[in-house]
Amino acid sequence: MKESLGSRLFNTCNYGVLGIIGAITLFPLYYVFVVSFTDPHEFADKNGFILFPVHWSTSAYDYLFSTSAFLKATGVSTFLATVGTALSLMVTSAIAFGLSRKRLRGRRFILIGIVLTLLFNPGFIPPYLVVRELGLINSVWSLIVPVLTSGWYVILMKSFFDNIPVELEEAAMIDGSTDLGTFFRIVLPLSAPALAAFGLFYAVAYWNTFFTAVLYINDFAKVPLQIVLRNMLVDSSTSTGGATAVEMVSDQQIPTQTIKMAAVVISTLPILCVYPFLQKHFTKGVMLGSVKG
Amino acid sequence: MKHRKITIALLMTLVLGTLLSACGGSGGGNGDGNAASGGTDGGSKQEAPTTIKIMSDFTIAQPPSADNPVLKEFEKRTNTKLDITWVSAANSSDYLDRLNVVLSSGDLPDLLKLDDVTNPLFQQMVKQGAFWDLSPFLSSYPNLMEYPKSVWDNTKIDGKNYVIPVARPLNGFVFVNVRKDWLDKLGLPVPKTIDDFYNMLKAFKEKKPDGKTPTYGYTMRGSDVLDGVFTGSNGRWKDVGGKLIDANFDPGMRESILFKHKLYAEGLVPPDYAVMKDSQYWDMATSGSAGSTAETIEAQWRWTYDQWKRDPKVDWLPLSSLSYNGVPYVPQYRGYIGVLAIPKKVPEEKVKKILSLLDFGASEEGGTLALYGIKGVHYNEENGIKVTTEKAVQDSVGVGAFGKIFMHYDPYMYAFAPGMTKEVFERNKQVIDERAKVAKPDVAIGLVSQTDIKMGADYTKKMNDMKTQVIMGKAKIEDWDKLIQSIQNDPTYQQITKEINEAYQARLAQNK
Repeated sequence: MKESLGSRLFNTCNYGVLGIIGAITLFPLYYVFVVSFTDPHEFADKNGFILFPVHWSTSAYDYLFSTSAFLKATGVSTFLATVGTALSLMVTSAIAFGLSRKRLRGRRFILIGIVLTLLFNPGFIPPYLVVRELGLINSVWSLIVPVLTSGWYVILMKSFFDNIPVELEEAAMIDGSTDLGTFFRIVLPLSAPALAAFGLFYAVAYWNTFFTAVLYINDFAKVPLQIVLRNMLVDSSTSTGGATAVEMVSDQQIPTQTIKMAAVVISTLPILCVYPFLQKHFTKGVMLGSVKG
Repeated sequence: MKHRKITIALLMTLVLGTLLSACGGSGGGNGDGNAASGGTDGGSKQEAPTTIKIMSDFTIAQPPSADNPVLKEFEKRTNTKLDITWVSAANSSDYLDRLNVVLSSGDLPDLLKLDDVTNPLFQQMVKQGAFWDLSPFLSSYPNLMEYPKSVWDNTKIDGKNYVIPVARPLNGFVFVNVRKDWLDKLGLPVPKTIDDFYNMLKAFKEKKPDGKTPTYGYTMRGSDVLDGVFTGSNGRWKDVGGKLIDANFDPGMRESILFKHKLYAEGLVPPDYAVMKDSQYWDMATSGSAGSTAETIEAQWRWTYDQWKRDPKVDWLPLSSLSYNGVPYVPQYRGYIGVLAIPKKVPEEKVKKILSLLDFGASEEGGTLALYGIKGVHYNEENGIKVTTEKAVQDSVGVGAFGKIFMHYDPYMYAFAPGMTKEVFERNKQVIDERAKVAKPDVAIGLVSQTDIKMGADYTKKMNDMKTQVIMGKAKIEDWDKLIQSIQNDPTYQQITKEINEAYQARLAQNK
């Protein structure tokens, strides 16, 4: 079929405008990436305006990778993002599934309890006491257990499960499936979009773990990546806080900006890599509950 | 059917619960069974080392690990076993949060690092008797007593020493530094007065000694130091005839704002100075776009050192003072970066042990160990100057970690940085000596006003916003006058002033 001139013109304009908007949105990402590989002195000389560096340099990355803490912390963060996300999804979906079944007694009561956690924030001292009494201080699990599930996600997921017909479950039961069997073999496979969406939410949250680690972790070998990156950034810019002598031994003084950008790249790259694969589920997932039937 | 479901649900929770708690158990908990009791019985040489739990901040990339050689050396020399929890203070509020959690949960270590005695929670706990009054013990620790008297006085609560300050030099802190090589090139003298300073900035801007555009006179980093030049006051409170008044109400502050407005209007300072980040100030100063900035002497040297690789003629000179109306001004640092407190639950014997540990840290030997590490391993001495090795970075030696707890008082600490030539070092020492003669102390260090803690920040913000607006020409100086007038008449603000003055009078009476 041949396109009319008007249609073609419209398409060209359309693509052109969208392309420009796309480029504008991509530019910050590109800038961050390029600056992180720019020679620090060049960056300083050009007052920070760089489209394409003359001298490529990995000095910012060398600096970030220079401590042994970096690799360990990446390990911790990866552990949090994988194991934590898996456990969180399990707990969240289990609670949500239970709550979505009308035959559960005391459903209302539990739901109100969950909503209350959304309304009232106790601050960080009560959680600290709980974590301490559980004996989790200085354990990686202190970063997972207190945030194992989020009331908000439970409610969202519950409304997703609400849309799975009860008849399906009944059919499974007639075929001899147990409750657990139904949950794992029928409900979860049907919920891939929700799992993907919430999995991403959880993974991002775990990957970004910072504050709880400041509170609960004493041993520096167990801190997540964000803390190490933060320390390195501050280390490279310490000045008025009473910096002196031995703090600056390396004769290569790297302006902080390129290091910052490198840190941004390192800390967002994993999420950026996962995102495209989850995206198709994602659009479906966040819509859940929006259509009432 | 129903029963089975409930059982399964219960089982699942149980299994999950035990799984999680089992994993957690291995982490914490140990280290409580210490050998503290070994201290009292007899003078036997084979005393078991005392375990001391410490919580401290650190500001470098990586804190010392438990098997750190410097830490081991400290343990060996003081017969202790140091169990230090290092908390990142990359953002100072992180440490504060952790500190507040620790204070309010009662989970106190044997030795606790605090940001300052003015911490409200700490003050309250001191009043409840949760911490040791160390005043009776201190006189037997000569190295600690070497800290300047003002530092000890400023960290007292109700006239008693509940804390041991972690000392830093009084002089050499942030003040204006200028490009000496530019001055020489233009044939200008080193500025002594605020007018000289202005003329210098103008010359830098107009004659562009580095041939750069844009060239600014002053980066405006730490522009508050200029306020001090005009008001003659270091910090927020100024002593006028034995009474404290807010320096913002001083006529000098008005002059300072007008002066900065002039700098702004004539393009001698970067137009977006108010929103610039530290790294931007540094980039501006080190790339030759500005001829003066504010920095500690030591840090300024580091930037110089970096610039030398591109231009060996660069020479940053820290000013000794600037004078206004014939009165020279340079601010004096408060002399400590934090304080250490010992909770009451620690037995008296152990308190003495902890104090002698800190006393060792304050000795020349201990201080060197904390800041430079072990000779031959972490540093080598080359004609009187300590040159650090790569190992020092790996082992987290320095002020960023051990220096947060142990410090030998050295008035010239801020004069030195690695890589410095002898000439620069000597010149810095001279600058520090000069500054010591005229430096203004902050009279209100460690004074607390409860009302200020609750409501003070609002006023400060209002005044700072107005200052910026006047400087940038978005508001008139009359608006500032009006604001000051209304704050002066504000009953809450009068209460703050009253409380601060009460605290001040109490201190003056005690220190007589």
